[in-house]
Amino acid sequence: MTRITVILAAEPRDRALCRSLLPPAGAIEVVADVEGGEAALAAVARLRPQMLLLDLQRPRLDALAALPQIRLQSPRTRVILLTSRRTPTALILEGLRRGARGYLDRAAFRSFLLKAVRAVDAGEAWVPRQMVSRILDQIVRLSAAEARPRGGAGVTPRTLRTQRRGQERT
Amino acid sequence: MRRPDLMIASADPALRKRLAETPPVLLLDLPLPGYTGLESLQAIQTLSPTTRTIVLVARPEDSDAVLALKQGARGYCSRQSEPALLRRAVQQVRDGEIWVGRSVTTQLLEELTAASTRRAPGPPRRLGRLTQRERELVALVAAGASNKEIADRLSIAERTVKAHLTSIFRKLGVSSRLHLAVYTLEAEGFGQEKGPTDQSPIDRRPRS
Repeated sequence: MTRITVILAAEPRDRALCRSLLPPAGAIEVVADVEGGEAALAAVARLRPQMLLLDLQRPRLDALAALPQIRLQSPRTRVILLTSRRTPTALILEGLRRGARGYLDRAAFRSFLLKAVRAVDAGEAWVPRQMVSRILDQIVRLSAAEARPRGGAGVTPRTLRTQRRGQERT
Repeated sequence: MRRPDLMIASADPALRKRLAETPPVLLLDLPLPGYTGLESLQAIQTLSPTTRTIVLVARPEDSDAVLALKQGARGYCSRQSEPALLRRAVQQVRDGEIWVGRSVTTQLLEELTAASTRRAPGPPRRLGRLTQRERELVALVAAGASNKEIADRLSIAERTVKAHLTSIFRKLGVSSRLHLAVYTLEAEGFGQEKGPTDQSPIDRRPRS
């Protein structure tokens, strides 16, 4: 198995937890741990790791803001967002839009952190099933916005459905 | 669970008739290899907007799956799938979820990122479309102020604040306060030295 280099960008407590869950010597190597989006960006630009575990902490949104730049600086680095139960879906979706390849709730670290890192490193996405429909909605909305001539086409069944779902959510 | 055995042609009278019963879930068998049957997906949605369609194909391909989903399918799988698996697919799709293989999810994520980067001129240009007052509001929203606080601060009615926000959301193409806050953050110059992010020459193909 090839080595996976990882940068941890999270609060000290979560970093300690992640470190304890990733095997100390072996296939996965934590090459740096930092806190905040700006520090993550600097570390990624310097070390160009295979993986960045990036805490999507509220209210600080600098992790999100740093994502596009992280992709520019190191296109090969795959990002998994670290979230909590209270992280709003909108924020997670925005993170995925900005190129993150998955996200993991801190409550699931113990069971899934290692699996998620391996899966994303292997090119897979790490998102729960119920998120897939949200992702699809976004794609459809974005493509519709692209395709729609100014003034807008008529209401299609799909936009109706999308709107309806949007209302359920709010 | 009924399994309507459908013809592909969207104008097929049998399909029309069955769709008049607005089935919650439709298993659409597309037996011809390489034929995605996308027109029938759109026709189905027109005829019965509440019907969620799962496409069954002989040889599943991730890229075909993405196409089908974009055309309105809610699921995509091999017609050789085990009955138990199909039953689960039908349940999940009926409950509003999407049924696709994991690798398709990966492709969807790539689509999402690609679609987002194609769209939208960079934040700074768009912020230029706002009026002075709207920009004041944006700064307050980004600082976490509530509508009430904004109203007090700018000595305007809360209703007016809401009207301004609606206009701002429309102009910037954002959908929520949170989104707006993120947007502003970017506009404030985090990592702008590289030029607009929507032009980024990012390799979007899956790496092997």
